[in-house]
Amino acid sequence: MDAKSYQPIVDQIAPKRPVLRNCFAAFFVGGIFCAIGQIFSYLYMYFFNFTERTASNPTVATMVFIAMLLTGFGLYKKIGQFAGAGSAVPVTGFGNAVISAAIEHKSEGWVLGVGSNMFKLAGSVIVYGVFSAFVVALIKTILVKMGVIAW
Amino acid sequence: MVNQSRMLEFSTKPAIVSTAIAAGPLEKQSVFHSYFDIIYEDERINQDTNEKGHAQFIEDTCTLAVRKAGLQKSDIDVLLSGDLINQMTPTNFAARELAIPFMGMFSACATSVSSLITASVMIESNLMEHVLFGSSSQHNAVERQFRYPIEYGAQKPPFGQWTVTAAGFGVLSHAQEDRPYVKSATIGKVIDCECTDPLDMGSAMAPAAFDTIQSHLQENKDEASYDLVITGDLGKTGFAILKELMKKSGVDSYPVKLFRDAGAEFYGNKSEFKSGASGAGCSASVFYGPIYGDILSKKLKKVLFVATGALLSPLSFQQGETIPCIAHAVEIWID
Amino acid sequence: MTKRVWVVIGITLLLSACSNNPSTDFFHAQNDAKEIETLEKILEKEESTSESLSVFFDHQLVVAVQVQPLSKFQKSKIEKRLQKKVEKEFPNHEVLVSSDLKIMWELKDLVKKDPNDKALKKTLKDIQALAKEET
Repeated sequence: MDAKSYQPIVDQIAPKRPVLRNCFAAFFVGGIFCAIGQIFSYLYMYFFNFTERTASNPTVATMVFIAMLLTGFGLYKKIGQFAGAGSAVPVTGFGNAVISAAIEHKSEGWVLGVGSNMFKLAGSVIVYGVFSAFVVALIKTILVKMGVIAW
Repeated sequence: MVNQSRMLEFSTKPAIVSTAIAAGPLEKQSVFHSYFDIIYEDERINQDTNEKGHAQFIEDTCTLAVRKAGLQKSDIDVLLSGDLINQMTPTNFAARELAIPFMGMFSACATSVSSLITASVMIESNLMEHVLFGSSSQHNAVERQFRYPIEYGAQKPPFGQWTVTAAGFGVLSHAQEDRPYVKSATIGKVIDCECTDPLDMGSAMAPAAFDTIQSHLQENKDEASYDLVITGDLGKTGFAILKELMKKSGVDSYPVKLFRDAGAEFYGNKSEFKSGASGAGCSASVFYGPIYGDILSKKLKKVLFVATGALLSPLSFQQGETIPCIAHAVEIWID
Repeated sequence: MTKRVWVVIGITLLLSACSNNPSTDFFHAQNDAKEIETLEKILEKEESTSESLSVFFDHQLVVAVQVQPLSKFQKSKIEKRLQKKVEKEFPNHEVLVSSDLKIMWELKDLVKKDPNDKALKKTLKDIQALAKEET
């Protein structure tokens, strides 16, 4: 049995991921997370002295707190199984990645376990987020200097 | 090669005198749960870590298997076992507690049968009297090592499998009346069909199972038909692919009454377990639990156990390597 | 039956998002109609705002605008543009144009209370400080 002739058999028999259904589920659940975030924003603006600009800070903190509770109670992975990207992409997904890794590695102690492994999954988000921000800013600076666009 | 054929034949009929099976709380949902000797309420067996719990239930299962054989631990010549965790530490720590001479074995999820084959060679050589063999897996410890943290919300694909928390151990001794014995075995070769998805083990392992089954059945074409050929953990996906491979090559015309897969059947049709069960404990608990029970009661008289294993590591996959697999087969008879 | 209910709710939600009644409100402490008219002209020219409320007091002018949903991506650009335009027309005033929802709410509360001069001055100062907050 060689690899080339085996792959078509696998493609034929192995069940495919239901992409369209996954897209709708992700859209629906991701949208709900964002709507909940928006509600928290409005609550912070209404009851406290936050403006639209400054309300994003406590809102993100609240969403991550909720993600922490859901992860700790084992509910986030159930949402994730249904929603896929809808629960992984928003900031709650970032929270879930960090928190689940922290819970997992508690058995190795606080420094070498939790401390160094907490960002095992989310570390690349931070690294490539910062790096791409740098690249985009660099491109924009060059374009502005060349006079193509204004700030 | 000393023999002309790849198959090993055991003339002294090394007999499996007893077996013991332990499983975790989620495995209560298994269709085989009534055959398990011990079912724990806590996934960690009330220990601090998953790995400690894993070592604990290996020790418990081995102790029970030895007791069921009517023996003491001091009667056992050697313990042959392994698990999926790095450096097999849970088995090592269990062996420390059992204080039996120990030889670790690694064949990923095929360890259940590779340990039995090695045990049979040892008994056949007459250098040993009693050998304890088997394998185990613990869901949390395996997921954390090979995939993601338990609470991470990654979406499992429809061809994914669930690693079971289970252990299956047995005692192999010289021929004994009314006990299933090892007739022959085929040691697998590493087969790599360049599958790269670590979430789709079934597709990767099916060619290895096919190679071993084809080799063993070809040697036994003219013999009486097999009551059952059962694979370890191909899952619903891998098992369907295996059937297709057998159909294409004509192996399905060989004298076999029934083909089954332990992984595909383990959790029944519950959709949250996707393609089925996997793990070293899956093949061990099903082969040495319900199927052994059926052979003991003479419902089945000639059975081929084919355990499959995927020989990858988290690092090999990240480095872009493919997933090589292996399958070991052992033929069990009862007179 | 329940599917129909969901369809009706869905359509209502969609339609409510499409409604568009641009309104411009003014509050002048000294009731200078000419200043109000100048400002009104500027605000009406701006098509992407859906609502606005302006408060004149002494030499301070605070304008709160709400941007149309589709133009939300240009929110800060529109705010800056309006700021420049209003400052040009009212060079003797301390002008603040904000597209922040909180500022709009605060101004609405302020106007509803109809305060005396001292309270008005203090509240306007607070609102201006609030608009400048970064975190």
